[in-house]
Amino acid sequence: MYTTKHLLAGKACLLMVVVVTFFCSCTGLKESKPILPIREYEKMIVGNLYADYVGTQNCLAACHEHDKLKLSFDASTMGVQLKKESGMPLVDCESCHGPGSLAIKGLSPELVEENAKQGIKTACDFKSLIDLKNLPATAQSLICLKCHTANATFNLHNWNAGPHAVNEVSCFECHDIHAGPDLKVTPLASGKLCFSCHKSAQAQFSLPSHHPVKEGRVFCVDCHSPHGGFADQGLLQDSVKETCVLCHPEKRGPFLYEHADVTEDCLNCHTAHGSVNSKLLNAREPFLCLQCHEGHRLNTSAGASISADRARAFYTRCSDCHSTLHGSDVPSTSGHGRFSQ
Amino acid sequence: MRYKYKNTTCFCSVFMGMVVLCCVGGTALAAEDPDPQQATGAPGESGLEDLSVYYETEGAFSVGYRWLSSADSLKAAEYIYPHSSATFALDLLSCPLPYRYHINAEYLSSYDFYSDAGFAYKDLILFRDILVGVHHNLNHYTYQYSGEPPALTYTDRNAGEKYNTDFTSNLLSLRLKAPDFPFHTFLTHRHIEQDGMIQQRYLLGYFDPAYKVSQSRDIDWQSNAVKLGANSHAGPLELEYAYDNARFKPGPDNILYDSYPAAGDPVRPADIYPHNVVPETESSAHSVKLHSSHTGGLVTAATLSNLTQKNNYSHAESTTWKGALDCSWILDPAVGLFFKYRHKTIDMDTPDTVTLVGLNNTLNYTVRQGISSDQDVFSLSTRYRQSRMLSLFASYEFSHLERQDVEDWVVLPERSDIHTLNVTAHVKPMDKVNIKARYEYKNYDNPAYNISPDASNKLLLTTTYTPASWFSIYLQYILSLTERNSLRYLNSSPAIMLEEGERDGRHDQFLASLSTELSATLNLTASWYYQRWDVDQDLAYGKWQAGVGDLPYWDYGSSYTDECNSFSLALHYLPRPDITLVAGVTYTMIEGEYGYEDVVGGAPFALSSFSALKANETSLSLEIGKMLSREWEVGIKSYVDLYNDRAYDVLDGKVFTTILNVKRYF
Repeated sequence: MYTTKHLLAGKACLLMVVVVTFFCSCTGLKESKPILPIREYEKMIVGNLYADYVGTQNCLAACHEHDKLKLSFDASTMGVQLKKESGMPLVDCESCHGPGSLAIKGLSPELVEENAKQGIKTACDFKSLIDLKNLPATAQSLICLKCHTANATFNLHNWNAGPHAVNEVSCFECHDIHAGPDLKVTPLASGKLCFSCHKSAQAQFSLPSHHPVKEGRVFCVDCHSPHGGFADQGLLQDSVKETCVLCHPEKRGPFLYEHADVTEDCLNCHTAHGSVNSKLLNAREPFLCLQCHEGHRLNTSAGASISADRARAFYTRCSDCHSTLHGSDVPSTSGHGRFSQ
Repeated sequence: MRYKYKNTTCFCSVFMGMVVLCCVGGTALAAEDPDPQQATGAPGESGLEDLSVYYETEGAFSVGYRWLSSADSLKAAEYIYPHSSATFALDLLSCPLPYRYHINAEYLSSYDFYSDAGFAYKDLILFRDILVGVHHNLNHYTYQYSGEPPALTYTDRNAGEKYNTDFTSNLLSLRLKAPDFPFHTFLTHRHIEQDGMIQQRYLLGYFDPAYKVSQSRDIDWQSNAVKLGANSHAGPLELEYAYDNARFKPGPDNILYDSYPAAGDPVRPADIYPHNVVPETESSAHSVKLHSSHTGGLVTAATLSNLTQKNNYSHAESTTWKGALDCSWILDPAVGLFFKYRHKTIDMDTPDTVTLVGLNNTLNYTVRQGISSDQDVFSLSTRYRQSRMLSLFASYEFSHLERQDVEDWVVLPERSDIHTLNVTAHVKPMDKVNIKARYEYKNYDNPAYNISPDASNKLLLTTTYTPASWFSIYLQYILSLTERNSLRYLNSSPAIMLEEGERDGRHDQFLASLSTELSATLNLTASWYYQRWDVDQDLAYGKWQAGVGDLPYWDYGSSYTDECNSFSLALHYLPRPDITLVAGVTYTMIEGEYGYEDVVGGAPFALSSFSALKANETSLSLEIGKMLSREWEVGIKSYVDLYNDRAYDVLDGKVFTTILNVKRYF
């Protein structure tokens, strides 16, 4: 139920947003320049201060070594931004590699062509460009964030304090912008990419009970956002339950009889990647349940042991009787929510 | 068994739509076909960019047939549609600029498919649709026990039935960007459908009589979730608003009815009552996100969202408020500070009473209030990058949870706190060696459930050693230890909380992987994965004492173990430039034990025998491709899985599939 406190909080937030937007005019938006971080990083990612920007065409026109890369880039969505009229930030080779005048100093198309005729490959002074591969991970990411701090999906909202950024995993680890014109990491490819570092997760998907990740029908990105998020483990949604019910919506609730707040975290009983137990359970029934619940009576009113058949009925699978344990809307025979009806 | 597929239309329409779009694009491409030489590399005028880009459409199309044979249980084929079928696949990337199209599609059967299709106009309109279908073969739990009729009976109304579901997921996203202004709008739609037949197990009665019943149940579940939003940035600030709406429809068979026997305490007459209801639910959410530019030394991100969920059967409702604040401060390249705050308020609103409507009787019951809670989580992390050889990380997190309305929930504490301390080191003593070591300590104050410890210690060690470019070793070991005193159990009669007993847990996990590139054409990877989960816990059982009721009986030091060893070998070999060979084998052994004492004395059974676990699974795959020419390739892909249920034999089974296909590159 909404309370006055909640409504006030919502209104205060909206007011804050309106004020911020008002004070930052649209003109200011278009003229805004990338805000570089601290000076040391600025030195790393801006490039050689004695070099000038020469434009992609001047840099690569004579050198056909990168024709394939340039073609892929031109054909990508970023290729649109080579043109000023795109209305978007300009992107070209020097946006990432830094100004290139020193790299091509003394070179001309004629010289390159002449050398080529003699079988000589003319190299540019690429060492005057930014040494992208050897930058610290944070600086590598800043190269991308210069432009991608804003994006259409806001998927970088929690990037900076997210697990990958904090643990020095850069954008480069997953995104290869020269791989081709299609810059997206496809769901199918994401598995291979994630498993290159998260090798244990790959092994867990080979256990007898698993989500069909190795079968290519569930993907790491179905549950995880590599860019970080509200919840731990880089979950796609704000909590474990909200992530699970994306594909298991029948367990969403709320229910009249909740399993206390155990079901707020599905991982209390299930493991997400793979398990030796059926239904991805952390432990087999009945031990799974006996960890928290007292077991049914083991003796008769006369004091003797219950029979083997009755013991089997109580201690094989609790879920045979308590079959609505994710939450129920119907009272059990006992009149309580015992999840048996 | 029933198979039906409602989304064929959906899949076909998306696929055909993309084909049409491709054809249109291809036609446009042909009409505008520029001189490739000029387009790809000719020097332009100084300072001007030549944008007449020509990118040749590329991709491949393949058709084939999949033969399948299986025997016994389908556990070995858990996610395989168990019938032979025709197959096809399409990979396409076309860029008749300013349009772009892509399709990656794989169709193995009407119930087993994947498609990722996209369209873009410049960078202004971006459309993508990801469609997945998977067939899931389910276990049929056996009910072939004698019981003790008439007080205890087992009835399987559909013995021998094979259960399975067909899961379909379609995720559509559309992004529109203003061409000359930083403003984006987006729409995502997620459609989930689960269709098939499952085993519904339930109990008729109470303890005496207790009728355990199993029957088939048709399911036709659908969920639709829509998200609409917009974002923009104002100088160094960026803002997004999004609205979500989700609805789950359980289909026509969402309420089951059955004849229940009369019960005594409380009195319930024999009648036909509803049971195992799958309710229709809906939810809506508003969220606002605001962050400063990610390129600053100090970056902050804030989120505020409100989620309302409603059950349309029982009218239970919940409202959740969530708030988040992230701050990162890069003091200099060597030092970073990260602060996170999360808040969550869950307000449960459940009806005070519920009316059970039988065929001839109407009964009212009181309902205890659901648990509302407030949770705050603060975390502070720091990173110190001493050099390329050493990075150190440390973090502290404090989680505080307060529950409301827990008076009726006896074992639940009103407050639970967790303190977490984490220290991590990344060390690179030499170019060929990477070491990561992490230690995490958790302290729980008032843990709510017995599975939560009082304290836990976790150690992680990872090493990568690459002595040569063609050889690398990866080793990882994780040890987790937990301990808990004063377990909380609710005694059944009288209903009192018991605080007694201990629990110790140990989890070991080890992974060794060796990758070699024996030659330019031969790669081999071998790995061993091991995990073991040990718990020693004092368990409570009810033990009747005349005139007193159930008194707890403690089974001290009851042990539970799960263990797994999995070995795998993967090979990639190019014996000739036109032949590709990929092969893999995985052998997994699992075993579990459950220690139990004879708590009554002279019991004619061992509880451990009811939940034993011992099985082996072997899977082999072989894929061979032969290029016939630059455009044509033939291939064969075989897969074998053998599952050996050594404990009960009920899940024994095997599956063998072979796909023969012809591929045409274009």
